[in-house]
Amino acid sequence: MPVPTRLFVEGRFIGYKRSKVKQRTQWALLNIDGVASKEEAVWYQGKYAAYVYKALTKKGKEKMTKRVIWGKVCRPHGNKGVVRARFKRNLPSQAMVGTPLHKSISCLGVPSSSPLLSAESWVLSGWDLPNG
Amino acid sequence: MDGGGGPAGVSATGKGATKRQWYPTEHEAAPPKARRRYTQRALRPSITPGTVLILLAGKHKGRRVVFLKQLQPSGMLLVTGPFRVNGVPARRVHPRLVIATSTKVDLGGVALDVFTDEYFRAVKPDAKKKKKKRSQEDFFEVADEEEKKEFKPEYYENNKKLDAQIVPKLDAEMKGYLKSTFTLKSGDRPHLMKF
Repeated sequence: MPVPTRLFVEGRFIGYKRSKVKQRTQWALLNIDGVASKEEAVWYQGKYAAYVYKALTKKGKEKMTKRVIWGKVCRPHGNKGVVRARFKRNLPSQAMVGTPLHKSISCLGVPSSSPLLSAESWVLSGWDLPNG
Repeated sequence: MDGGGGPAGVSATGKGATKRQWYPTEHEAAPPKARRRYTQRALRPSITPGTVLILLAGKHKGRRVVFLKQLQPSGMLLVTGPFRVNGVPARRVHPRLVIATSTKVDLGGVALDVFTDEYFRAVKPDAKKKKKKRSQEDFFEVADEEEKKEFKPEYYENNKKLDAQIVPKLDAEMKGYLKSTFTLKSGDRPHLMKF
């Protein structure tokens, strides 16, 4: 039986890469817990990020209503440890901190040069959503 | 017939025609590009035989296991719990799905020749079974059979033999360590941790 373990670090989606009036939704900015500087953020470069959320109904062959949008941490953003990430499908703006439905982003310790983990195998292995 | 099929644009002038309207630019077909084939996969220096690794994905994620050797040419790592200690059998693991710790176990002279890539290759279900015509009774039976995954009996034996060689080399502290699982708690910062 898999022992419940947490092997990901939580983070928050604080917004898209943007200028004053225009936002580039293909780039998400993530604030990873405990990362306070550009140098620390470099460790996360290349690691997988996952936005896990619940849907109301199961679609088709899904085994549960938890869904994942996979992404990769690309590079640091600024000096304070914020990080840029690209997701397979751009993150929905609902996921942003400050909105009522926001959820944590999970930053996995697994580098994205590894074989892609299937969402189901990850989510089904007794791993709970970070925010419950 | 006459000189076979020529390239498009050749005027069919019949007997002994040597002149062509169009000549290909290359004399011969270009050789197919040589594909990079790995015979030896590199391994990061922090992983040496006997290193304790933390598995990051799969059924045993969070478990601490002992690295035995790297299998070639796949480059996968052969690891074991050992099974008797923490329930991880001799298994292949992708090198990128693992954290190498600085803890090492002295393996010295453990026999690992049985374990190769071929040994771990999944046994494909019998092709004949699928094509078999199903009668009414068969229809219900076949579903049950395919559910249980069975391993070859050698798997169990080889695991036991491997454990018998490795477990005596572990002291109580090491066994306790391998039994424990790695997990992040709130406030933990893996990027600052020394593994």
